[in-house]
Amino acid sequence: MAIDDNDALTKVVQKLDRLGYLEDSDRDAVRALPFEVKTAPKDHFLIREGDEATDCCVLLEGYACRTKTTSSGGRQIVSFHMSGDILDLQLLLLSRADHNIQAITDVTFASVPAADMRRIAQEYPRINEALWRDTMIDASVFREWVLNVGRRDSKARVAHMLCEFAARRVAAGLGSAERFELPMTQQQIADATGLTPVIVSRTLYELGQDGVILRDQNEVEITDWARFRDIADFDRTYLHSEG
Amino acid sequence: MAILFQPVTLATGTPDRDGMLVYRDGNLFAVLSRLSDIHTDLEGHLFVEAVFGRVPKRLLHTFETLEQFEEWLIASD
Repeated sequence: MAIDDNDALTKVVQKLDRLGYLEDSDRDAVRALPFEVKTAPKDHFLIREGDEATDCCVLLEGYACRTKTTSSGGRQIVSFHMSGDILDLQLLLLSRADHNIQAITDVTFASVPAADMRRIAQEYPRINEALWRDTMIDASVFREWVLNVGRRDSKARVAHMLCEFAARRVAAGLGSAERFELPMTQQQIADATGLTPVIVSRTLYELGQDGVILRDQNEVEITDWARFRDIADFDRTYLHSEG
Repeated sequence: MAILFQPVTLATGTPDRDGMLVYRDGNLFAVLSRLSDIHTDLEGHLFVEAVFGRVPKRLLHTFETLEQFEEWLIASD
């Protein structure tokens, strides 16, 4: 689906509206931002660790992830991202990327100069608060991921990741929490949960045997949300969003 | 290096029940499982469930055959 210029900044306005209480003057300021709509293929790095970036990316279509790697090549996915997410808000204040951002599907994104984002944050307090809130929620999600990878067993880890993905899709207006297509591979789920692809495969099998999910290729249906949430130890409070 | 394999049954809670204890110089070094058909492309491969003690820096998790696992173990020593 092609995205025209009007749609692009509307997604940003919708995102900021979900994060705070914007007035028309704030929305107009966002719509007046300079930006460029770009596309990138699956697996493309939008930013690499160490890059000095001057633009902020707002994901418009598709899915991406943030990753960090050890010196021996071990990869950890530290978050997944979807339409409407501002991928590198940190570049408003920090000049160098400290992690990679990689597309996990073909993506469309709006590239906005960080200097202009910084300017409207300074000039419009409600926009500043919405961006600050977005950053705080990001931090909350990272804390939950540390807990997930550090202290939950493999079944709860994978189930929690799926619960979060489903809940965030709903909050972003991307569809149902009960049935969705998983854009990530088992290797990517493994990298996000600190497991191996074999353990992810085994865990998905067990969740199917438990009767809480049905899978057909990449399609996932959560058939018993209450039990699935219990298995996952999922409490959506940390997402700080409705939905 | 003396390597000894001992078949065991694993309580994984999944069809991946066929396993192997791997002894290196008389000490239990690793536990392997033979992957079942729930893993599609990897069915029949060996999966390293656990490794004890000095772990090779480049830890591979799956091997097509026991011979490949043994070669890797010797090369890592």
